[in-house]
Amino acid sequence: MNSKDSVFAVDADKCIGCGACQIACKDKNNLELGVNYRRVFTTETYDKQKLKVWHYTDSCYHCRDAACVKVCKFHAMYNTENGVVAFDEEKCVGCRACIAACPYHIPVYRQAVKKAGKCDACIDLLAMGRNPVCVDACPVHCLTFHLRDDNHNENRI
Amino acid sequence: MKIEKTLTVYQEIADFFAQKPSDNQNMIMGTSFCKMDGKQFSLEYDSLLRGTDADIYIPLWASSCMGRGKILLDRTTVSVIQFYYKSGYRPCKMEGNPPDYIGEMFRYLAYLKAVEIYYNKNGLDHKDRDNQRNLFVEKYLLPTMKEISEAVVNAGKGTFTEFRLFMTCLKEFIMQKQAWEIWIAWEEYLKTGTGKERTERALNIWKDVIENGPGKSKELRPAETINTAGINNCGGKCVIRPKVQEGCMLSIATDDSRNNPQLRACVRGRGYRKTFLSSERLKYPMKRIGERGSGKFERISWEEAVRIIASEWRRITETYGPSSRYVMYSTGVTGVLRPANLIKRLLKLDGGFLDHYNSYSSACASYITPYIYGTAESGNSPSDILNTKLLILWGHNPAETIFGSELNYYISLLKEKDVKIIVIDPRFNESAVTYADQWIPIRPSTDAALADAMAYVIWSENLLDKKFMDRFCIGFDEEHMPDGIPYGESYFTYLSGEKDGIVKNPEWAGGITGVPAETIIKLAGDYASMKPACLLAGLGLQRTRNGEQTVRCLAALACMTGNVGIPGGSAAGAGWVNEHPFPGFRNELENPYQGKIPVFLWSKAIEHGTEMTSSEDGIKGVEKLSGNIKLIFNLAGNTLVNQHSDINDTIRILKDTKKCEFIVCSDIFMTPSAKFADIVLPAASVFENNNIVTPWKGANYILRNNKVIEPVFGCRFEWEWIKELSKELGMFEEFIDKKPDMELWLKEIYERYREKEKELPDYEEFCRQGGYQFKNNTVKIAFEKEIREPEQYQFQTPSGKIEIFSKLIYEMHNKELPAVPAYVPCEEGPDDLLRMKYPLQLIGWHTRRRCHSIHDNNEWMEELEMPALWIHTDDAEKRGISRGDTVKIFNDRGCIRIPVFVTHRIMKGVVAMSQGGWYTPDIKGTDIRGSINVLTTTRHPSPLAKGNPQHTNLVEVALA
Repeated sequence: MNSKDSVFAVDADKCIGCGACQIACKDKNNLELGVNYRRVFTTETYDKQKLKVWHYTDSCYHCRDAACVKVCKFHAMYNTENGVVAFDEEKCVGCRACIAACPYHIPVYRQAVKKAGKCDACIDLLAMGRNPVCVDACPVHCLTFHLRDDNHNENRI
Repeated sequence: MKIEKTLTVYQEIADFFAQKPSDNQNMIMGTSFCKMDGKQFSLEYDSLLRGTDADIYIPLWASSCMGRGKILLDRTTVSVIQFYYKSGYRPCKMEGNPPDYIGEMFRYLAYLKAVEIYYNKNGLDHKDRDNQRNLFVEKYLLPTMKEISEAVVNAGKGTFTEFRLFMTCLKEFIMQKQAWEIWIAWEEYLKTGTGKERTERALNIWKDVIENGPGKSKELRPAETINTAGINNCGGKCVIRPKVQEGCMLSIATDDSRNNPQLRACVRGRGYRKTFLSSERLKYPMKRIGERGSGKFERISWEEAVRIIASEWRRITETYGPSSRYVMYSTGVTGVLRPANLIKRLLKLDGGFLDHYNSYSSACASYITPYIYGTAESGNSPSDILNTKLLILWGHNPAETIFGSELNYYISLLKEKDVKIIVIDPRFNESAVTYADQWIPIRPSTDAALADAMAYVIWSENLLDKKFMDRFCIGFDEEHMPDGIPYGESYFTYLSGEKDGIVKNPEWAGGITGVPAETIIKLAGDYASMKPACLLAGLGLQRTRNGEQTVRCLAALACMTGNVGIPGGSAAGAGWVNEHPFPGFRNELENPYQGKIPVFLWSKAIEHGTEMTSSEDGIKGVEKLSGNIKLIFNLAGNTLVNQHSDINDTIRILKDTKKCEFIVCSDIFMTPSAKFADIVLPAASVFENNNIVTPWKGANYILRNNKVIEPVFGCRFEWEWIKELSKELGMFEEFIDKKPDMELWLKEIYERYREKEKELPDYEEFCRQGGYQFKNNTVKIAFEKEIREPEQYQFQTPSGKIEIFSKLIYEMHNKELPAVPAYVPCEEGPDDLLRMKYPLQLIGWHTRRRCHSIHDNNEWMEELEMPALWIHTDDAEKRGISRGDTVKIFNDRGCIRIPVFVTHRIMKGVVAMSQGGWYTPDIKGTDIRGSINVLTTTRHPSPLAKGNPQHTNLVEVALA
């Protein structure tokens, strides 16, 4: 278990569902068509004459006790010190165990490289003291990334 | 000798891809290319390898064959370059192709063979190099060849099958499997005299490598981040920071500075790499060979293209005069140096051209607002929104249509402050979803009726800011009318129904707009009681058949509540702001021809130009046009077909080469418009040229486009060929005005700007930073002076006051344009009898995934949002339509077939589809991409501005 823990937070009251985070992620991670590590969804309900619509941006939850990490025999999924569930493409053999194990259906299979893939919270950017690319893409600043025991350090945003 | 022969084969293949062989009889492999005559071969070659056929796309670059879709110069390209550098190979860029072009990869294999010969000669071990080669072949070359073969099959022409065979043989050859037929053919071939000569020639090419060994291996240059900016016709020009390595683009970042607010790119900006470096780019100059619109072209040189344009220019000018020449409204490059303005400059030097006024965006708003306030600059700075107590987004959807890169951020702050936000729109749009405390759906083209009813409530319930009205306005009541106007013409008399017997109360408006009377009363009450209140109108509500009146009504409301000229308020109207007015060219030339047409009526001016009049068609500057339009320049624009209205009718006009005789298009893609050109020129994208850009609404920044990579293929920024054209026409010196290089123009314009704006950095620093955000954030409040110091400053109207009643309009005696802000029902509005046949109102909106028609071919955006028709659940049910169905949407003008989105997010009786989809007809002429202008009309422009009524349409929907 990690001493530190990381989490994305979405202020769903502010999200305009524009998709900037989704495309920024796709661009940064050089992903194939049909493969996205972050997706924007819009949900609509209509109940008792009341219409409700909300946007939501979804990506890896970087679980404390991640099923993908536990199931991966090749240690391709691993926990970093600051609580990110990262992914080592070199080690992945494309067995898809993580895809089956994740309760949130986060890892995706990349046909082109025959490996799995998922959000690593841009650990390269974190190492430089910067935010994940999706966080800095949001036009309304509704997406944040916190190191949980950082007391939501506002300087990160 | 086997290695030498293999080298020869690779080199010949590389040569084949590098340049069209002049002698196809000697072509390698027994393909049917050999059987073609020279001309036919040339056309086939270019359609396969040089993109001259709009219907054929072959991915010839490794980057576009890796499952990432149609993309050039990405990380795959960098990896390929890395292989090259490691083995000491330097790519040669075959006809401007990126380094991972199939031909270049074969040339690399030839090079490796030459190295192998050297190694063998010197008894060196080349196992490592063999492994490298095999890895390269497996990772990049073979997947590319596979994709090419598949694309060729899809292109589906007989000769192409031969080309596919050719690729299959090549594959066998590379894999060194026993592809006997090829080997035998090649053995035979290489044994012959010419074969021997060819081997010698190939060996000679690589002589240096064979004798002295491979070149020095080289490391990749490190990646660097360059500051540049968005360039499209978007309300928010934003910061784009591409990461570039070896001329390839790895990713895009945006503003992460300490700027407040940051100028963050939206979703479109984040997808720039995929849009602008698409492998579908136009590649070389072409001339039309099929009938207009067929998309069949022949490659020509830049010199020939310029010669043809010059000769048609002369012929048409001599035959029909300068007024037959027209430059399309175009906004693909919305920088200081706009391609359209450059060609206009040249036309002005040679007798002039038929110009236009208005825009497709804001025709009614920009035209009518000066009648009310004396100027169209009636907006407050975006940041002023933070001062408001109530925000009404009326037909305004900033969450999708970016109006200033910072606006969404400001509205989100407003939401944090719990300021009430109301959205009025037929759709429960993305802004309504996130920002709105209340959504008021309304029937399209009836906004004026809602505003009139609100005005009625405000007036009749004494919520009126009487002091403001008395002091600053005329025409609202009978006591404040201009001289010589009979009794009964004031706005309040209209509202009371004294003259026409119809009281403009909420019940009246309810029947027209579909907004319940209680809602109207509450809305009017809120607006009149919460001060300052900001009525922020979008441009959608004025792109209607009666757009002028809507704009006037909203301005009247702003006046009646005294929200004009105060912080946190809004004067409504066109709403333009200009905090830091940016200069244009110095000594801009006058157009010697005075005639102007409204921008929307150009297609009429092709057919009936001479019959057009000033009263009916808004011709300005001349009594009558002396002729029809015969020559069109459409540079960086898509209004020729896609973004104009009634596509089928427009195509009918354009197809006839006797009507408009010559059309030149310059663009980066084979757009629906470019297909109708006689000459198509490949332009440089935002990454391949320098420019300076400013956002729509002034705002506190100015940005710089920096050239990030060299133009790909044979692309050129318009300046380059227009300069050549000026030479050909003998006007070079006058045209360049001692500034032969574009940079000199930009620098001159910038330095002039800097004289006014002292805090700007010098030009070099400005370019390096990619723009500048002013430190002294000017917050402009429209008409602040006029309200605060009325003795000194008057409104620039005939009366010097805000004109609720306009004498100018009164004297026009146009029954579609009353002198007061009255609602006028219109053709194809909700009251039209045509609803018996076509019961649904159709509107288009500006979706987040496109900027007008730009980015439609961006495959990333396809994952975000697919084309779909929005229809209310009840309307769908009535027609037996359910989720996931494909429907046809039709009226007398055309038919579209797309999937349906059944939702409660749209008003009953209204359907919507986002504007900007590229017109893609199937075999029967039904559009399958959701190009809304198939269904919009050119017949009924708005009464005064002659604006485009693109949201006033009636249609019917049925299961496809």
